Amino acid sequence: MLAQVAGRIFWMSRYLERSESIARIVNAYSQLIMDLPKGTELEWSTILKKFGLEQAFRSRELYLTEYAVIQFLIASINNNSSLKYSVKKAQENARISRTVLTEEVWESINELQIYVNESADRSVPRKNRYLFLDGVVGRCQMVNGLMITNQCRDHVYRFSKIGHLLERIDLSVRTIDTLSSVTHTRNAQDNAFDTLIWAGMLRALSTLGMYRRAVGPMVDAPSAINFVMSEESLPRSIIFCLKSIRSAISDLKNNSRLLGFVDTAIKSASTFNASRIRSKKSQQSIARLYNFTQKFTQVATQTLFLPKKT
Amino acid sequence: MKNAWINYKASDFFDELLTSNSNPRIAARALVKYFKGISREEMEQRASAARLAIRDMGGCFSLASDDGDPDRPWPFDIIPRTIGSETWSAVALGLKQRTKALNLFIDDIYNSQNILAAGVVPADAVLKSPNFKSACLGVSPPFKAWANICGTDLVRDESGSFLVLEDNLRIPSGVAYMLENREVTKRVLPELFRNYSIVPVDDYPLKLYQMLVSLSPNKVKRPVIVILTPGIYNSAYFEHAFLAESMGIELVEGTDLFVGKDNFVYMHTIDGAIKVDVIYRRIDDDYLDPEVFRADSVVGVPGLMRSWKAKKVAIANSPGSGVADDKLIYTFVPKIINYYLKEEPILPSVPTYKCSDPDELKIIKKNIKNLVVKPTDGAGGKGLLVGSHSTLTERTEFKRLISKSPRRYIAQPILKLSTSPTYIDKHVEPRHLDLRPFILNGANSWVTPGGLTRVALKEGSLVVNSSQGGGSKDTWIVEEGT
Repeated sequence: MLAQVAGRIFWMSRYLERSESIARIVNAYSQLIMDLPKGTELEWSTILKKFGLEQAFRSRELYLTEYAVIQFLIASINNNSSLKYSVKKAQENARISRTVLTEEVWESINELQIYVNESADRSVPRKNRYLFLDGVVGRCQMVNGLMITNQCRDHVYRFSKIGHLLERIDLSVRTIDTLSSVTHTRNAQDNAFDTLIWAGMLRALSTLGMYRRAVGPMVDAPSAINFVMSEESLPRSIIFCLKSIRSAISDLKNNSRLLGFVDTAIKSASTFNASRIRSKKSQQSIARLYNFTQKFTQVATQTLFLPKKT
Repeated sequence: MKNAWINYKASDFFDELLTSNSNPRIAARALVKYFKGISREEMEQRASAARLAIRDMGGCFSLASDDGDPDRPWPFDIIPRTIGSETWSAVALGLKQRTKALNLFIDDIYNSQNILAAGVVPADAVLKSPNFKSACLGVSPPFKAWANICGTDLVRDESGSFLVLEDNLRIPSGVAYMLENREVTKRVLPELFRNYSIVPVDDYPLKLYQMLVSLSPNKVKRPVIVILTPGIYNSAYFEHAFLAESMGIELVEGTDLFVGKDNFVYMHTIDGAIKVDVIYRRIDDDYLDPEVFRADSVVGVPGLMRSWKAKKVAIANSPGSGVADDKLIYTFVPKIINYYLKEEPILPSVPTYKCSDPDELKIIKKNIKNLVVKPTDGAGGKGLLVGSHSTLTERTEFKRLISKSPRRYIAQPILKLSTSPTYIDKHVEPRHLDLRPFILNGANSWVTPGGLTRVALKEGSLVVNSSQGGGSKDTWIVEEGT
């Protein structure tokens, strides 16, 4: 497989996963807002924090209203972390590597982009939002399903998988970090509803039902965080994603730096204890995982995706 | 019943589907009956189904002047154009004959130059052409096949005879649209395929692959073949990707390739460097190798010409092939066929005046209003003058241009191009069209059944180029008697 094409497949998958995540989180957040009693709502800035976008939003001098925030997250093309932008980038990367994708995968990604282009703008108001975001998630899942059922377990599959998993880890870490700092600083009266917030997180990750069966119906912060961080059987957990990345890169040549990296991250995730989340050790682990995506991408680009003369 | 076809009558030109008294031609009989039998609403439904199908397939022909969106769908007309299979067989023979002679001509020009010594073609016309590449002198590719993929433009005059308008021997495009058009038609008019015997077109990628394999200089079981594209912003990128995907080969850019110390070409992969045997290049000669041609090229591969000359890699089409599709050389093609094959041309050319000939230049200037003046090195329907559709200022300007650099222009009479029923704004109306079949030349030669029909969507317009707002139609070679 061409080195440059491997890089594009990696990015295509990252952008696809990011699109799906944005859709899931905005949806879960919109539901959550309706459940929380007046006065105890989370601020709209929380969701921006989660995507690391507070600064970018502020710099545009917009009012912090629901409409402005949602518009910024799903329909803005100038925000390079928005849903619309991510889908556009996924489609661009797919287009330049479509020769290695199955026709159905390419057509589905193309269809996703057309759908988002046509509907994102009018899906900012609450009444259209749910259906639209649900449509995005469904279309992203369609692409994933087509990859899993039709693609040979070759480099294309491997890099697409790595891209997905990496993006998943990134978002889960951000979510845990943001929500735990928000709930930590809230006053006692507001905290009465924190169960809803953590249940909302699990719902966003499609994990609430699984959590109930594995842990029980009561959602508390440490159990929810531990579940997402280190439940070995949960495909969206951080530990599961890290181990899957490890198995995908172990089939590559020139992988020693990446393997070392992943092993350190696996260690951090498996020793993490959410009941002591404010401890120095836990905070260090979170910081390490926080930087994992960026550093992994850097090393992969240097060692795999850039053409080198031999 | 209201019907979009209702007021359609054969035009004064040759109508592809109807005879002059508006009866369907044999090959078009079932087709015309079908379209006459469906309501206006149904017609509109089929047309929008076609638009949707194209959009979902992601087929596009982006325009240089466009706002940069590389995904603009190509305009497609749902009414196919039919040609009887017997008529087509004769045309296909003519195309094989013509491209064979042109390949022998190119091989001669870069080697012994016998045809120049014999005075059949003046040396100046060849050696002063910007398409003559001295870097190719002394090279002779396998089977003397230089132009391996040719896209010859054909038109039909008022009697229905096919004429060659242009030989495209460099990097002709459009074949993916031919294939996609058929896919779309199968999706939106499935009923028609039941009662018709239409020659399939979908084996083109296979024939192309076999031809490319036959060129491999390295005798290996499965040669590594790649398509070299200038990249995503090239207007034919969709086609490059489509063909690579259909053949299961890599689509590469210049930066994916390098020439090693052993003069072989390699590509960078996840598993290291892999040797490349055959390159189907879709980059112009001038940008192919910055060591030999334009030094500022960022899409080419340094050292590629060295590797090609050392016969370490095959390149299709061979660099320098353009020397034979210059519009000035076009005027000599009948003589070229006589000279190399000792045969008469099967397909006539369009009568052409050379501005470089003083007597012909006089005729051109006198009759400019009834002529089309074309630049000899132009493509894409740009920089030409259609006399009958021009202003006095434009004509004066062209007279000045052709006197200044006569080598750069030729002139042809304005052709009465054939028309075909085309669905325009809820009505069926006649529109002018041409046809670009594709001819493959390697160990064997092969012609596509039909080709890409391009149609001028503007009423009365003769310019069919997709870069000038033309559209396309599916082209059916029909076994008569079905």
